[in-house]
Amino acid sequence: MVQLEPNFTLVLKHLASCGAVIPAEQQAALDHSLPIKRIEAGLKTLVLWGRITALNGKDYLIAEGFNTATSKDGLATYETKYFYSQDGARWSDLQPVDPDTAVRCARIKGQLSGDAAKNYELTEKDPNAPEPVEGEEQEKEPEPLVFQISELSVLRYRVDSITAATSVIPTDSTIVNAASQVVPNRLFAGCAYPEKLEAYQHRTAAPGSGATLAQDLRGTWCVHYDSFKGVAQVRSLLWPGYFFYYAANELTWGALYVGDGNRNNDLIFML
Amino acid sequence: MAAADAVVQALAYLQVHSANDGTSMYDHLVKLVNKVLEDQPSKAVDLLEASLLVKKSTFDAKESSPLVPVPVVPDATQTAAAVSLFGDPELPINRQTGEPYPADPPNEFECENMSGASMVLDCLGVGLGREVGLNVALAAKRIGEDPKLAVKSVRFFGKFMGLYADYYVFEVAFKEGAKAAEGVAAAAPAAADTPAAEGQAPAAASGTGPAGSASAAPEEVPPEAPGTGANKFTYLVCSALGGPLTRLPNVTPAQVKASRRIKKLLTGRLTSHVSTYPAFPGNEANYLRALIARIGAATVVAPTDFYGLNDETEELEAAEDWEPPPGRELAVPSAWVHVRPHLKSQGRCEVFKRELPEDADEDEFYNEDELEEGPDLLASLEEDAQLPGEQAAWTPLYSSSSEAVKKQAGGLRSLVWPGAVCGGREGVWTCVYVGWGVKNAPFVPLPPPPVAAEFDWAAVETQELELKPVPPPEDEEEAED
Repeated sequence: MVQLEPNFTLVLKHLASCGAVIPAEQQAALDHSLPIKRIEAGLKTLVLWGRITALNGKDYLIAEGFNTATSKDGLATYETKYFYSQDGARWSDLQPVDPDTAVRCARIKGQLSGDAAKNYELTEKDPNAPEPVEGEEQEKEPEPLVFQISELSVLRYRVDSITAATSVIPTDSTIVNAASQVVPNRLFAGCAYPEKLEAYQHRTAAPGSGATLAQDLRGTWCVHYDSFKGVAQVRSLLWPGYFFYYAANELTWGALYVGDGNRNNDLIFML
Repeated sequence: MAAADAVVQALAYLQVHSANDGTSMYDHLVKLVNKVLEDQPSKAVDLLEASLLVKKSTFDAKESSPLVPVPVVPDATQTAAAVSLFGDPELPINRQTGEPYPADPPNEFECENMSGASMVLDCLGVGLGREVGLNVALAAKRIGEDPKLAVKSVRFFGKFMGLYADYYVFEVAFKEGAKAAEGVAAAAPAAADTPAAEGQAPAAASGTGPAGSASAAPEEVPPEAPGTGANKFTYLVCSALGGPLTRLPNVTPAQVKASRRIKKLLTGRLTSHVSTYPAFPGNEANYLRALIARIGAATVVAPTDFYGLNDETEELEAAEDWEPPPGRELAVPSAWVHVRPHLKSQGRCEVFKRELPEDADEDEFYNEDELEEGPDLLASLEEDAQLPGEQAAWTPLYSSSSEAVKKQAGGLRSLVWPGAVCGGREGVWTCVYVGWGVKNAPFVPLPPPPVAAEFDWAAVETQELELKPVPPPEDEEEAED
């Protein structure tokens, strides 16, 4: 039997040894709230994506859901919707960010505060202001533009960055059907060599394209494979906190992110 | 009578089952006669061939090769070791008596309520989860009850994740008088260190390091004695719970200082090379030990007023009248205190000061490291250095989103060492580290050393070479021509 969507209990069970855990109360609440939200949002699947830590202790749980995925131009595009929750019971929308805001969100570093209504202030040079002419004294400096970036935009930006760089699935576990939709491959026979990176791919790679995690930058992924139990754990080193598991005997897999959402820019020195 | 006995004996002999062929002479002859009667070959010679044919075509289920290939079963040692943690240890059985060898009486040891601690961490959403927590508790029990190790106390320090394997680290204290043997799996850190520190080597051999570093610290700072300061506890590591344990060597101040300048991921193999530039004096076992020293000194904490400092013995003692505060109140930094001595920038907990020569001023003679004064033991977490932006070093952890839930757990998460957490509920408290061994501080890699301005001629001149031999006088050569 091949799985159609990751099982949340199994994900927590297999990734607990990496430190990817959820508080017990939230785990109990998710059992009820995820099915409710899935129906409310009209989505085919809704799974727990991960947990972004916050400074005030109210971590953001992120859920990711989608209806269809289409294959176009060698890429599989998933029409995903994201939701966030701070208690595991009530979910709210996490709106997408436009490219300009995304660039500004990248400048906000550190852990998020945990206050969903918070705004970060960013100042930028005004591109429309007249250029200062050398030699002449200015009467006044051109006023810099001040932007208010909401914490939820930064949250969404971080989730998007991590998803774009990770979202791992076993190679050939999806297939393109007659309507050009990317669907789970119900005849998936499992990975031949789960200890190798070639056994895993990004979900955005078109099925059958042959692009796997082995083509990613060398040193950004590490695999721990227990050959007796048949369980592989794939860990991201560039986005520390992203973990993916694959169980060969049960043909189940899933991923979870637990971290503050920042990229590890020192990786080159750490290897 | 004798004839009848002889027949019986002969039959019994013929019916002896042969292990090699899977049949007996008697059965074979029966089959042979049956076959001959069936085939009715005309010539007597065919009898022999018939016999061989019968033998060949006999099917023996046991002896024939398997019709399906035997599946290759992967190595089960790790899982078998993990399952052996549960229940009482199996004793080897004495072959002669059939009884198990009598076991040595298990060692008496102290440890915290580990399964309770794993429940607290599970409520807070940190640590390794309930299942792994139970395995950890049983592994700690195995360490504690081992009569050969004879430890006084065991504590689970935490889990370090690595590229190819992880490390589960247990902190043990030995009973007084027990010999603490030297650590295994360490490179020759002492041998590598002393030549650099022992002043100028001969010029031919001084390829190691610039001469300047040796003169800046002519005397090497001695490591702390086992049982004191940074070496107060011994650390045992294993890659898989239930698997073989390795004792980490004691840490030296040079290793602590060097580990502060690098940021490396652990590979999971204790003998791995760590860093070439800046050179780390040791291998991964030493680097892991230095990380443990730094993380332990910074993040091993206990609730305020749980321990009191005994003025006479300078040891921490559990106070008898400690009242556990309600869960949510443990989620503030003022509710916890450090219980490990502060690790100074020199690399030791207690600063080592060189002997002050007479009529030298203390402040002028001692270098910055030696003059450092750190916080006292039992300093509150509130006083930890803040991060930029007036951000406290510890952020809260709650087990419930509602304040009205009774018997909640509360805890703290460290921002400086991501993965270090502490928490408590109803009198059960603990602290643990689960992480990559990486500090959350801006990392600036050491720039390469400055290019030398001028070749150091003085160092090249040496008296070791023999003087050039004097050429023979020239008038003798001309005379030979």
